[in-house]
Amino acid sequence: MEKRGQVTIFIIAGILIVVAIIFVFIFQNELGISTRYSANPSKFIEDCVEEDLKIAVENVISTGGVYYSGSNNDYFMDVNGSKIAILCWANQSRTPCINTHPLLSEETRLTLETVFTPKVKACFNKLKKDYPNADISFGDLEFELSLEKDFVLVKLRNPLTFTSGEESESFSNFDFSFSSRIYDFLELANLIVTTESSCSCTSSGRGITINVAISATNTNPFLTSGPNTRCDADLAALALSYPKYLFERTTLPSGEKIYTIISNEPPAQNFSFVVRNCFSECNGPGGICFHHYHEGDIIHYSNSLTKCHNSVHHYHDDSWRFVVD
Amino acid sequence: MIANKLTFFFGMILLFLTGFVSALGCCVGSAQETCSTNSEQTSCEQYGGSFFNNDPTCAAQRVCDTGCCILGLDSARMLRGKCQSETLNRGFGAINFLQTNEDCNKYIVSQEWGSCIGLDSYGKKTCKFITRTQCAGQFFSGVLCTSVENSRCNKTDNTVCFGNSVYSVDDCGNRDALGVVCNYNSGEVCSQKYLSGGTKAECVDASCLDDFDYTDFVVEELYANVPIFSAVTRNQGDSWCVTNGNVPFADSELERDLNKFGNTISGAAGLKFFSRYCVGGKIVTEACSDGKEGYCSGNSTVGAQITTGTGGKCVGNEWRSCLSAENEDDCDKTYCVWFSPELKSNVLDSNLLDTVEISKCIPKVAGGIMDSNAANTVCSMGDFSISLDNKDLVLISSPKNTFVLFNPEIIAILDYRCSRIADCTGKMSWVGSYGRNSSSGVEYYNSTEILDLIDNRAISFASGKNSGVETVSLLNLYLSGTYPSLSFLQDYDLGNYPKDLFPVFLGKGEPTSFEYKCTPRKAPLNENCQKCNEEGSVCTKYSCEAIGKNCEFMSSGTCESKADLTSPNITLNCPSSSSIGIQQPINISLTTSETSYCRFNLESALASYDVMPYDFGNDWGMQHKIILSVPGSNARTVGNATQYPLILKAGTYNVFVRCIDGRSNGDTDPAKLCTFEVPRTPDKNPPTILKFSPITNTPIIYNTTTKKIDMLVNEPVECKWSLKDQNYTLMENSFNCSNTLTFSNTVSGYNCQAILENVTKNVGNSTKFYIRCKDQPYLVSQDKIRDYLRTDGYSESQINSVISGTYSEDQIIAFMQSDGYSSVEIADFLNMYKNMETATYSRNINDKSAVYTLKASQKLEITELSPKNRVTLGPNFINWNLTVKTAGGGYDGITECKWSLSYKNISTAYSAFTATQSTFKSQSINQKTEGDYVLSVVCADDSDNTVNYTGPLEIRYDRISPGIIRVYNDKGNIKVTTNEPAMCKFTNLISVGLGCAFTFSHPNLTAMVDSSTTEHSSVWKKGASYFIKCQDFYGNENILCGTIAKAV
Repeated sequence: MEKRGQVTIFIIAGILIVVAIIFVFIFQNELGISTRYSANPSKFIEDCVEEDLKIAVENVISTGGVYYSGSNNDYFMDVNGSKIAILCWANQSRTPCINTHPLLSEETRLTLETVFTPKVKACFNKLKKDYPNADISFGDLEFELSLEKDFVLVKLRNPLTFTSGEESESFSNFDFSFSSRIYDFLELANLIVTTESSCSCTSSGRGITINVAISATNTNPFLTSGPNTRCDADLAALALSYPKYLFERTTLPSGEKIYTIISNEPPAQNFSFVVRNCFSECNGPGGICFHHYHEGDIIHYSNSLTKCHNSVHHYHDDSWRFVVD
Repeated sequence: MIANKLTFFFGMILLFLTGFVSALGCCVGSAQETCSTNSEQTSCEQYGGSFFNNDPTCAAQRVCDTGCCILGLDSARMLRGKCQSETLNRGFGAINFLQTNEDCNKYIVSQEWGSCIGLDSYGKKTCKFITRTQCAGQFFSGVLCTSVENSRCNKTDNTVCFGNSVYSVDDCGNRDALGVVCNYNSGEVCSQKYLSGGTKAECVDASCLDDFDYTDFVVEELYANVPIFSAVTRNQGDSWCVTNGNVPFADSELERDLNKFGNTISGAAGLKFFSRYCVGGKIVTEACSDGKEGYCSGNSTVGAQITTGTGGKCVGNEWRSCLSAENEDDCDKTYCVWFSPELKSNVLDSNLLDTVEISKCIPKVAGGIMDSNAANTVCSMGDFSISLDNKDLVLISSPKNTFVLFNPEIIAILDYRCSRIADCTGKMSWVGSYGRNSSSGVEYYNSTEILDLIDNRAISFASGKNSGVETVSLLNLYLSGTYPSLSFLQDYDLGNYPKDLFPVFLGKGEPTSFEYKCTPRKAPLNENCQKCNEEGSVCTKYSCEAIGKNCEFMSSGTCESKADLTSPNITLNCPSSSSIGIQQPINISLTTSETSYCRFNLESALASYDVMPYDFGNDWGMQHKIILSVPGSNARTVGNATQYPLILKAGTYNVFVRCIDGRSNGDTDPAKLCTFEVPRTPDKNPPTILKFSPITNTPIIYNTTTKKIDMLVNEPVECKWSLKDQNYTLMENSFNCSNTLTFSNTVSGYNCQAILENVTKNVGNSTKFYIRCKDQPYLVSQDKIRDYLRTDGYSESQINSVISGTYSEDQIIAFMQSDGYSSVEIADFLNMYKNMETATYSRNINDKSAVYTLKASQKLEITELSPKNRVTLGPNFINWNLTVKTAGGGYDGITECKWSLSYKNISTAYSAFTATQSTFKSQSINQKTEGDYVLSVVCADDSDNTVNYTGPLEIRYDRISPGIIRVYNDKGNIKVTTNEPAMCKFTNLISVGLGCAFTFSHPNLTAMVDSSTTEHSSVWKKGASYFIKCQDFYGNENILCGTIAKAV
């Protein structure tokens, strides 16, 4: 009997609690209880912009620092099915390449800003749609990207008033940032391109044994010295100076060099771009080459040009291996 | 694919054509942080860059120099332009840029931190955690002092800030292990507090509480006439402008109106600009260039309201360039404004307007005139004159005098212009007649007085030959129509003008012209020069001399009155002897009546301030403090006090103090004296050796026979050593004991040092040394006192009475005084007497020897080092380890090692292996870029045996898959031979990977059995096809099949 009584009391207490909750919920306004809406426009805008912007930044990294829009296809090269930006291009053999994107970092920043401004505006409009019961008004949008070391800073200003019922809140600053290596990649790409393009290749064409004539003060530590360098950036020197990154270069038979910068620290990320610089036309039999003769493993060259010597039926490939014609 | 190739082809043609027609040059980014060589003008300028034709390598652009940028504790390789920006952004002063690679590398290596083992000024072994450059001793890169055996540096609970991180600190005062890294990006900075027990560092909010008393200063907000504000929180990185309060703001409607030409700051003499920064939770004040050659420029401009300062920084003021500009085009808007007020018709008569040229290029911030010779010329730029031939001014004649009323607005405009040029002030005069006021001929009357004149009221003339009272009936003159209307007066709300005054000429005849002379401001005659020395300001020559003619800027950096011949009053706060405990630090403070610097000496006053050896406090000011302590540290600063370890023994101490002001008043004044007594305590315990360094039984360096050792003793001592165990007096060799402690001994004890000789070279044997010590070396023997007194002719009975203590100190002093001893000699003797050895106060000697042993080392060697010469990486080997094994030395090969890679003239700093105190170490190395490097490894053990290795190291990638060079039937097995060590797998099923498009890791492949690394076999199945794929050691596998063989 006692147990049954206790159960009854618990049931009644439970019912009373439920009724009280329902009462409070229905008559909250009359009771003066405010259920402040939980809208967070800053978070909404950040979420809306950040995801696509991150993807765009990563895409720019994957294409060598230049935003690929399709219409600028001329400035890209297809490498293993990927578009890779050409950052420096020599039109003629044995001439320094022309820096095709001299202010790469600024160009990338401005391009991303331009491309993303409509998207950012759309996010503010989406905010209105997603909060149909709120009265949202905003002013002039200020949108600026800043590529900083290790992160991208998104400066977003738009005076916004969010009114729901009798409550109103004002927002204006929607700044946020996310981590990215794009700054380092662009800086290092510019360093490599500058190293390549500032090197005079008049004496570094394929097959001459005198040292590369480095321009100006000859103090660029990132230029490979010695014969047959074709003004390559010195990857080991770069690696020691920028230990967070691994540097690779693949030279195609047609003379293009594909530089790849790889982050040593997780998450692994690659940044590749194309340079054609100081290339030689002597890529096979019949091409122009310097006179030379062999003495064991040593090849001696003269400064005069000749046809690649079909007479002895050989040529030297890009790795200077002897190839029988 | 074809389309892509075509596109590429035409793209390259486009590039070719573009390159062909364009001149190439250097492209410098708008912020001067980026330089691109061999660039085209169009692509450069498209993104705001500056293009420099005919400089394709950027060799002529200084901002494009590559080098090493030193940013405080950081350094990085970058362009000079970028370095300049980073230097400014991080709030450092001048750019520190090392251009040559050699300098850069040297700097980076020199900035390595590590333990530096050396000797202090007492010859005692010390360990300091400093940079390689700072180290004059043996340097162990990256190793903490607490990790160095026998360093005598132990861990403590104290923490300090370094960079923006919290580090623990050892009891030698060195930075020790890293604790917490404060997150700068999230607004955290490391903050350090001084507590009684040491220091405590923690990550705190980086913002600053700006509670400085700005009463005498002007903050940027005041540009909007906001009054002195209360404490405000500044964010990390905020910077704002402050001046020393002399900015005369536009406080009239007219001045505000004139400011529309560009907000300007007038030539308030003595004006100083400061930029204040919130950096790391602290507010830093930077004084801009003196004499208004620099000023603080913020995001705001004068007259604009701002709430937070974010851009206040010192910039140069090219104010002189403004004055030479003759037209608006030449007026550099960076520093100047083109001032061209519209003169209303009621300012000057319309007939005069055409003849007046008042426009001028004036500085935004008026210059400060430091060179008085140039002052007149500079200020004369603000001169002005107009002819009064037309007499279109208001002339009022009376029988005796002529009155000329002149509209005040033109004067206000001229005043404004004059004050914006430099430290100038204006003065007007009438030419062609003489006025009652001989200096200027100008009288000022306010509007009421003029109206009084008009109303026919009397005005008085106080002096001169026209003195007296005259009544002028203007109304009559007006009524006769002789003079122009005065109605314009009614258009003015005269009360709104700051100078509610009208210039009036009052004199004989009629003036022919009006002249306005802009002349150098003269400092007031007699002002309080100490205003310049106020806290928070930075007193300079310019600001000092601008205060008053009586002020002079002294070499001490303070501003003093020339008439000041008074020494600073010193109020000395001396501790009473009863309040001084044994071994307790003694605080002495003093207050001066004016900004002063103080010094002191013990025991004698010396001749002057200049020759006193110790600073009393550490700065100019009015509050000064020192702490005298028992030896335990070198002299050091503790808060605003200076601590000196000068209390070496018991007895009376006399501290003589002098203070000087900026004019050196007080230099030879009688010294103030503070006297106190340090109590004496009997010592009955022999000294105890606390610690040896290195510890006993330590091996010494291979093939040597001597070893310098240190030992710590619990009190001041004299110590000896011998190879035989014998009495102290018989021991042949002495230790050099430093009885003045250094900081590291505060806890540990007093240090003694000796070079022990004749250590055995035989490995396995050891040599024993016997050591004994004698304490209280400062005690004076009775024999010495006897000799002293005997020399001076005292009788034996008198001497015995002194020695036995029969005479009191007062009696001894009386004796000596009557015998003609000087006070210094008496004090010296008393000092000896107070430290006399007696039965109670006697020296103690160890009756047993401490035994210390040293033994021989083996030769330390690197027995294994891998890789040597070459590292090959591949798809499956993207990481590599450097391994080192050591043997021998003093500790069976247990060493600490570090490594470095170098390439051409670039070297990495030495890095320690993470495994310490072991014989075998393996370290993962991040360097994977192909190249021909030089590897250096250095290992050292605790006996200071070292061994190093230097050799070439090629880093290469294997990207070539193995080739199958032979396939055949070998006794019923299919056998495959590869051209390099490999593993091979096959499938007989074409379905696994059509066209061999399967990977080596495919689960349905059959592994072949390796009979050697290059020979691989499996069962020969007649009629079967073998799709074979091989993979080498580095993970390179055949892209398709290595071969397809059919068993027939």
